[in-house]
Amino acid sequence: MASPAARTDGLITETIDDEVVVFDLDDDFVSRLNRPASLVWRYCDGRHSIAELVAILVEELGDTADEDVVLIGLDILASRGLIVSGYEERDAAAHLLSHERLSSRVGIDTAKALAPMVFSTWLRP
Amino acid sequence: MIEASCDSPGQVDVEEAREAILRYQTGRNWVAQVDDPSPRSEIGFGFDLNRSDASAMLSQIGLDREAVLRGRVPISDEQMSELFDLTLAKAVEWGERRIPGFRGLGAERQSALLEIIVWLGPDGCEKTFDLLERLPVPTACDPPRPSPWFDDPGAIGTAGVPGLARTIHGSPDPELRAWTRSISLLYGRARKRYEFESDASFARLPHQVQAILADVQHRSGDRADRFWSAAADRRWMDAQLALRALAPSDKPQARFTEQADVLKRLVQDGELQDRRAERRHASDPRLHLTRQETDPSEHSMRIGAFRTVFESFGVVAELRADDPGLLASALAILPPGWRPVAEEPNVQFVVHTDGLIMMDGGYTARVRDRDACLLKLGTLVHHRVACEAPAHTFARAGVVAVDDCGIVIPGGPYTGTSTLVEELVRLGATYFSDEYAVVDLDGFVHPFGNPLSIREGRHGGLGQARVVAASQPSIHPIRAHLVVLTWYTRGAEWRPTVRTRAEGACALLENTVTARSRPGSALMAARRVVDTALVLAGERGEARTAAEAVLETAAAAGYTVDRSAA
Repeated sequence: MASPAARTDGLITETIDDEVVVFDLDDDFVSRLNRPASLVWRYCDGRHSIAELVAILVEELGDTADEDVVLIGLDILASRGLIVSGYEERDAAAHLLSHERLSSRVGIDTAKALAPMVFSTWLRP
Repeated sequence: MIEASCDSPGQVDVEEAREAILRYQTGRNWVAQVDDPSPRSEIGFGFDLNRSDASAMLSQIGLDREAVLRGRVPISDEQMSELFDLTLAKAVEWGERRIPGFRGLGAERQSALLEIIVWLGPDGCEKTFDLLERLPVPTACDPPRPSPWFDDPGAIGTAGVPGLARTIHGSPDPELRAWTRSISLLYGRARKRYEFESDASFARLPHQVQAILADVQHRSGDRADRFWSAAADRRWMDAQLALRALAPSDKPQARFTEQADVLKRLVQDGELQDRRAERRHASDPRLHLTRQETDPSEHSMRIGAFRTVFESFGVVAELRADDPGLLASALAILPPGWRPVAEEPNVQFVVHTDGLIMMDGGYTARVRDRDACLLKLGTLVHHRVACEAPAHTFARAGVVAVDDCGIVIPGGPYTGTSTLVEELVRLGATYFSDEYAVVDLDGFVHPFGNPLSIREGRHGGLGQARVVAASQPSIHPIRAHLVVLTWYTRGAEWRPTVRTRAEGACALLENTVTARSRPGSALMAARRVVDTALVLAGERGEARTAAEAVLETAAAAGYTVDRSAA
């Protein structure tokens, strides 16, 4: 299976504590990646498979992280144009199913903290 | 093969070449996108960031190409000079390798060739010289003749162009012949227009100015009336302002802007006499007013007779008015901390007693009510300073201080920021600004302490300026230790939660004036502000209650207000 690769062209990034702020020069969007999303994005270098990404997140976030967490992160990053190869965003049903499985497994509050999130804003002219 | 004169040993006069190439070359501390001759990214003295050896060359002066290209880091003046020296050295090396007899050329020809090699870079040079070598053009091995382009700039006129045409007269290349014919035509038209409207000789102008006139004639037609009027009257500083107004707003480095810089330098170097300067020193202080304007589309020639030039956060601007009392009133709306200077302005504002406001020679607004007009002018001036300040980043925010604790409240107009700032000041906080958080390169927030302006009424209004009696503005910059993200909701209770510093940085970035034009520095400034700050967020109800709660938070961290100041 191909390894996801993060986009680097046309971006300015700044790591602040555990999060990453990404400024997309192409469309003037600013995105904030929370810690789980930042971890997924950081290791999307075209060399780590999804299984390896899962292992990394488990090491960083604890045993509650699993493949669903990684796939949620990849879906969100791909939807924001931050993944250039090695991963196709899944359809909404598959994405939602990952969220539901995560919440069922760890509880809603833990799932909120664990789920990769990307908050984006368009910079007005 | 292109050959220089044969077999003459000589030197390469690097210093002369340096002076010749840099004479009218502007330097850029930040990356810029230019279109001349084709789209490219430049920094410093025209250094092409896309040349194949750009990374290696930039690393020699301690810069990372990617960071420079993305606008994250500037190049200092010293680095600019050093980079140019490296570029010139490489150009000399290329010339000596590629052009036999290069050392035997006279200094002028070496300089001309080196300028082309510097500009095109090694990759562009290979392509261009390959092409030239295939053209049957008389070469530099011809008997040397005085070059009209360098030897006698004052006498070029259009003679230089036929001279050029004669030089390649024998070329069988139809494109080349057509090109020279069209250039002759352009110069001819420019000369006719200039001499029709002026009592001066086109031929006496420096060749750079001739080229500018021909280029404007070619590109702008009727849009350039204001430029031509100023040029014909030899008001070269007005002409350079008119050139800037011709440049598209989405391409600030377009050709017209660069030509304006050339005109300005020629005046400063004394090669062009600006008639405005003559009149300024005349006993009659009134400046030349060309015609009465009543239609907004015809405002371009109105110039106020009374002026001041000021500097604010590194931006040098001129403010003109047609009435001394109006000018005096307008001074009150200038950015806080402004100071009068005797430098050449880069920005021009004009305000008239009939409510007309112009910026850089172009119509901007007409506001009949005098107070509202001054308020509008103030907004425009502040925004322009915010856009162009070279060493500060402006984010729309309210800022107050409690002891050494800077409190930054990101938010633009109609977000309730001013109201919250007003209440904080009433409770004893030190007023910094209700308009901008002005962040320097070290992350300190500077005062921008205009009278508080509470925007009442509908969106789009200018708001009522209300001076708060307790608002003694600070004069010292401060570090932010609290960033408050809040919004007004009727009846809400202030129950903020601690947020991440990245969230605080994003909120500042969303409100940064130059976020789009200078994203790298905007992001760095936001980062530096939140580096030392606690970020709180939550909706608020009445400003008084929220202000008290914010001050309690500051007090919990050891920062207290002097309530006697409230």
